[in-house]
Amino acid sequence: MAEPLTRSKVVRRFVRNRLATAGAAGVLVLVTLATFAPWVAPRDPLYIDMNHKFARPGEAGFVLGADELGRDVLSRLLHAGRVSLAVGLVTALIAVVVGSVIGALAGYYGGPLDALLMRFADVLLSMPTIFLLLALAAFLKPTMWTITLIIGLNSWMSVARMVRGQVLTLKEQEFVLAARAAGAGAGRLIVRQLMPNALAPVLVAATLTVATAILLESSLSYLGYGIQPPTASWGNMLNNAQSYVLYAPWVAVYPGAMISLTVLSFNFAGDGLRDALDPRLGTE
Amino acid sequence: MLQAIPLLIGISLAGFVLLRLAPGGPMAVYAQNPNMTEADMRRIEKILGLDQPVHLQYLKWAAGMASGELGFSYRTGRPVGEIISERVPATLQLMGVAYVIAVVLGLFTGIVSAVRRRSIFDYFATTTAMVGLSVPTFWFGLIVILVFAGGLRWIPSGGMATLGMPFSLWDRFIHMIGPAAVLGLWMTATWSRYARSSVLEVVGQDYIRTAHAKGLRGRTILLRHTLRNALIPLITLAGLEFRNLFGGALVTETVFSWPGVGRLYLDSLNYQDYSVILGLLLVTSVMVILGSLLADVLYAVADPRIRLG
Repeated sequence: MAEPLTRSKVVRRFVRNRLATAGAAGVLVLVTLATFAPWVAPRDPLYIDMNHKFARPGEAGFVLGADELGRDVLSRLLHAGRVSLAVGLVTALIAVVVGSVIGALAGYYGGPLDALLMRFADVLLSMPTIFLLLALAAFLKPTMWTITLIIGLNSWMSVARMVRGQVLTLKEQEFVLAARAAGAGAGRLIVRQLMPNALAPVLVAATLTVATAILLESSLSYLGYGIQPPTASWGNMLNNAQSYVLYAPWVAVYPGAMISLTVLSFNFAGDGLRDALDPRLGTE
Repeated sequence: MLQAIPLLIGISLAGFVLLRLAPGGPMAVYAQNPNMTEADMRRIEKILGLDQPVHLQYLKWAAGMASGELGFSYRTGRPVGEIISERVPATLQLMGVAYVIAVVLGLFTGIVSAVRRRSIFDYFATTTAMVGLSVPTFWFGLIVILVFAGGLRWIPSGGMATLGMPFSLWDRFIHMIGPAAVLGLWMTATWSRYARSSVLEVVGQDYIRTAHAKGLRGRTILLRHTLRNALIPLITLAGLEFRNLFGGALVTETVFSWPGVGRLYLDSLNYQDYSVILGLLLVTSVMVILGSLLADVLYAVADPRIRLG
């Protein structure tokens, strides 16, 4: 039988995992850069300068070059980071809240409510995500908030399944029965007794959801149905990139590298968190 | 087995709701015509049954869908089913080749990773797989174009055939390399991760230890005992991955101008051709459901412990 994990033990196990630490450090750096983007960025990300269209990196003070409208790529990358990270983080928040509520209700009440909610999740899980998101984005007006909302409302299913499973296994255990015998109602039981036990897997899922959400937002924006110009997001900076990638590669290379780096950081951190929280893995 | 039916009903409900969510609703196509009067619109609404209660409308619409009538394109007036089936072969070719790459390469690296756990190969393979899952497909495609079509000039930068050339297998192959490699390698990451953890799960079982204790050769244990048990659960993955395959194909087709259903979907979105959009959404969803249904059946065939419920 594995011994229970204390918080300091989890932290120690996480820190000892090199990739996880690198991921967490990456997240920290990226969030800091995005937060201070207006002060760090050398130029106005929206300023159009047709005289320096496709300026090469290093040319005329454009550190990472200029895009097809002569805008500074570095400044756009920094500002776009705010948009992409905000969408990713808020999406994860929506997914966790919606998923926890639906999962807890389904697991606690069972019966027809459970069947209805889980079939609803199954329906969403059988539609190709990008197809559905594109249709929704095209039908609604794509703004930062609608994009965040539709990605979030398509990302709660795995959290819901997990929370439901946890609630199902826990709800007949002694400490829950004791709380019920002491007169606790359904709401109190779910919030005070059941949810705290599902916290660890939910935390892992939230971290990994940030990664998928950033990928989804970038795909939507790349295809023209996500964040709308002139606001820069890493995805829409690659809009039409295939038409000039061959003669101005810097315009296409950097935004994608930023997406990859960010998503990789969140994935490493999430994976490390899962391993650190898993009591079955040896403490060594 | 039977859970596919509520799923299909759910999908059709979602499609029906989406059609009404679309700007202008199902009448949008007629509203575009400047010669339409208000009276004409009411008359057409009556002919189409749009004046009837919503639940009757849904039943009629669902019955049409079930018999394969997906309606007509708002843009060209042609039957949606016909438009979609023209594009299906291109997408199936791309997905088929990519799937083979993913399964072969993914199983190989996953199994070697698990057998040589904590080796340099394992470390390298798992890290690469994580990178593969984190790199956006469209950007990976752009980099492939930049390096192999631009710099090295080994492959064309897009399309399905050289313009003005008669069809030849070699020409198709050359055009296929880029998009199939991008889509295939992206899925390889998922396959190798699942294969690795599935094999690791089996390696820790008691019956494998028993086999070792009996003195069987490592090779025999791996092939006859470990892999046979580890690979069966992956059939489920084959069904689940179908959904991501469509999403990945849409993006890859866009980057490489591959004329499949993904491109059709985006073009229809740009032209606000809602009937084609919804038709494709329904067709792909049904294919995803059928894919996982097929996987369930195959699983039951491969694993005698599972009985279909």
